[in-house]
Amino acid sequence: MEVYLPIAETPVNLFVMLAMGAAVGFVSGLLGIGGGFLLTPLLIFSGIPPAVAVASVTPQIVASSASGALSYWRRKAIDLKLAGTLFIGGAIGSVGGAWVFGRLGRTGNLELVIALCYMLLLGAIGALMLFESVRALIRSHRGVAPSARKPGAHNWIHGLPLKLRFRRSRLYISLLPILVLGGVIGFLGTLLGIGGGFLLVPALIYLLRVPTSIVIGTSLVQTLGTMAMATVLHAVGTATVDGVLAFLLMIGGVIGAQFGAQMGLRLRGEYLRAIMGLLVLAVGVRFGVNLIVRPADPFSFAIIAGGLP
Amino acid sequence: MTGRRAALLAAAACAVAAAAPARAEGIVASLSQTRITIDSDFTGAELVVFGVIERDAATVSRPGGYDVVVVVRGPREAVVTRRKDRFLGIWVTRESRTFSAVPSFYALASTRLLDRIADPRILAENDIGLAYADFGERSVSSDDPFRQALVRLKTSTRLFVERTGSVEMLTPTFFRATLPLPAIVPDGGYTVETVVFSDGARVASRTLALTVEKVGFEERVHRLAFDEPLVYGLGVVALALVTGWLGGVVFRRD
Repeated sequence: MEVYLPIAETPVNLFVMLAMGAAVGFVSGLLGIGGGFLLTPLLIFSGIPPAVAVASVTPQIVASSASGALSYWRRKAIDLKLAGTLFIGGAIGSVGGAWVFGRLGRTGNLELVIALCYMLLLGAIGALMLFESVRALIRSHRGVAPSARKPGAHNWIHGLPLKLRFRRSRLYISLLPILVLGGVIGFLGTLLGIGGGFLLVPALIYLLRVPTSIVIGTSLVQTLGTMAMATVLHAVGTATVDGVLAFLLMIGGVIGAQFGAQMGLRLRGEYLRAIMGLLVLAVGVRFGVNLIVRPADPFSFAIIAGGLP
Repeated sequence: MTGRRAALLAAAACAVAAAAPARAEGIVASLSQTRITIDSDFTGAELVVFGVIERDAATVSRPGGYDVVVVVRGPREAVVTRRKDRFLGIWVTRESRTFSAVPSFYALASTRLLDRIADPRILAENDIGLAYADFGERSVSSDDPFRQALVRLKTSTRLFVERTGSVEMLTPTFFRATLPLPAIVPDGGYTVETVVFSDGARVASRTLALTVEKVGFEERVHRLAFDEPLVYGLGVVALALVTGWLGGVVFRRD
């Protein structure tokens, strides 16, 4: 069944879009990630204009992080003060991201920058994840216990000024790294159509030493806020948010995530991380190949102003 | 359809009979429809243009006969054409050219090949033919690679169509042209221009209006997104929150 997307201005198959949302939802439930960094590229590869793909995945991330945050809220596993502080940074970053997004769109380089950023970001993170999980797998086969990280060890970040107390996370740290972290994630998330959970969660654990039980819920609230803001900014700034496309992706995603989460409980962590590493790496490589291979048609056109008689 | 065609024929014949004496030719033309509505299952349409070249005893004789060109033009828009070139190993947009007034849709039907009908100069003056059509930049020659690429890209999506030889002359002065409008035809105010040539010179023309209008749910979404972007953005966020919340409640696992 064909559905006409009012903003992308292309007809798409209803079931293909639902399936795409469900597949990425499945993977995100399986691995406990948002999945924006998989969904946006999938849409781009399937012919949705990159700007519309990025801007329409942002509300999908709002939906998936809202449903995730709800379950962490019930378990009281969210540090609202930390999430709020991250969001202030995220909001500023998001405004910056939307501005750069609009500017690149007007000069015709948005597609290239999205592809380059995805290639570098996903290539690096995918390789790291794969390397780390394969090492963990080899270790566990040899029966060596992984070396435990020293709890409470401080790093340079804990020496910065403007300290604030976060009671739920049992932290007393500077405002600055939180704002910078939120800002960077907000900027990248808005520019690339990713929630940024896969960057934020490790950063919160390893850099700020937020307890692991609090991390995911807190990161989801920050993602929810930043992506809601990004949706509004994209709608106002570039009118690239396709509500119909976003809704199809949300429905597929919410359903797929449930099956993924159930499957995830039955698989080992190292295998999951290895699968995710491979997946991330593959998407990064695909972007790289597209950049290097001669395009089928070097010419393209875009309507920059219309409706004049 | 046959009934409607017959009615049109009759109307055209009456108009010919009622025409006042004149020295130059006139055209009476009619469209199969003056308003095209696009809803979610619109798969394209065929526009039929009927017409009669009016002559009377005072009209100069045209031993060469007539050539008819019918052009349907959509609203004009500014378009940028970009070219990717290899730079440091990757394909990057290096050059671009902006055309300030490209018709969003351009479909042409004619009795013969255009270069048999008139000189390129005359065709260009009349905005006739994809090679000569006015894109708002008179200084850009018709063999400019950016211009040619734009014509090629728009032709491949069927937004530009040139069907030479497709206008049927049912009698020496009575013609019929059929023009295809694809499913992705943009909306707005269109013009349908009929130009009659004889011996390489333009002898008469007539322009009719055609409205292409999008209707239905998708159009309302589209309009809201452009007219009230803030309301639309907040609406999409609200939809996302409700969907996420419902998903969290329906599939509650804890």
